[in-house]
Amino acid sequence: MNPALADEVVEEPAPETVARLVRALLLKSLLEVLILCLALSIAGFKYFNPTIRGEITQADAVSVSGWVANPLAPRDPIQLELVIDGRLTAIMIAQEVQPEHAVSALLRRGEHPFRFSFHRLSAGPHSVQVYAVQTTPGRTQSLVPITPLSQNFTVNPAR
Amino acid sequence: MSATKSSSPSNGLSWQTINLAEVISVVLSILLVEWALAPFPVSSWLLGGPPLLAFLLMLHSHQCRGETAQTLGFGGRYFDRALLLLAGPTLLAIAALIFVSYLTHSLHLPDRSWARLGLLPLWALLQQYMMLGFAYRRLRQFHHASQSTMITAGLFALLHAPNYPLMILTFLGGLIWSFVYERAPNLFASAISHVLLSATVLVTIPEWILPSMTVGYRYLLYHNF
Repeated sequence: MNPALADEVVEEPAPETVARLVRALLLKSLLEVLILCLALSIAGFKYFNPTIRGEITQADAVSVSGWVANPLAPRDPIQLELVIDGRLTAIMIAQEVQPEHAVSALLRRGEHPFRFSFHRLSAGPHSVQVYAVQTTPGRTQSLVPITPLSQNFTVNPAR
Repeated sequence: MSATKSSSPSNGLSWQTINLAEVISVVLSILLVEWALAPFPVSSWLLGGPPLLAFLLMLHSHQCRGETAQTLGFGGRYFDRALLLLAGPTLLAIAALIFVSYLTHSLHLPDRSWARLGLLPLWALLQQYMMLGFAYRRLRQFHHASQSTMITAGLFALLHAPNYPLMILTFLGGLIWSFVYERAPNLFASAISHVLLSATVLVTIPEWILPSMTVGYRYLLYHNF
């Protein structure tokens, strides 16, 4: 049986044909890179952009307090984890809306106050951060720091 | 088809390089979806972007080279001959698969089987077109038939990674379909063989051998290791 495909004669293409194909290949590659970048951006925003906002308003030797809010779910309680000097110290659920902010709830939606109390810290410098447990779309839960930077303070020696 | 008249560089790029670049580009589009985009929660419109671009590139390539649907294998030419060549290996493989399912008591109807079987003809024709009507023809222009057959079957298996049972099956299928396409280039006959074999695999192979037909990242996601 004679091979059918081998019978076909392929002409060497003209230079302009080669140029058109090269342009098409480059354009396709560029568009695919753009699609990949778009997908990465969408995924990055969905997974890593913390919707949870908050503030540590006070930190001292025996307590840390502040507020936290999730604008996407203002009424839902938020689980918080207190980390002092890099060590998990306490966990709590912040769920009450602050009365003083109830009037302006539309502007500052669902602020939950929190206050952690603990045994007096030793004298010296300390860093404190509060993490909120955030459920990302899809499957996982992640810990999101409620402020961009840890709060640093120094405890003076007790008299 | 191997009779490319010369391989001298045109515009600084040889015709072989263009052929290779086209095949790699189309394969990368599929791998991009299977591995790089599948993990992200993006819309199916975005997931369909690279395959659509690959399809447009293939159409553009055919147009630039003056290839018609008839020469690619869409049409009646070589249909009978291709069907005759494919009948033996296809029926043999179906008989072997049914025998395996008889021994292992694995004859079953998978989930959403009718929907999957309904889409199978179109899906098979699309895969055969991409594998034979495009990749094989491009590779054949600068390789011998046996080399082109091996590379095409290898690429077809690669696109089904890391589902290794499916990779083995697609490699064997790729060898047969490429071998027959070389002698009787007809995509409808190859698609019929593809549909029959896929449907048989779907209902006969035990789930402990082939748990699913998923490929790429989704295969890793839905299987425990």
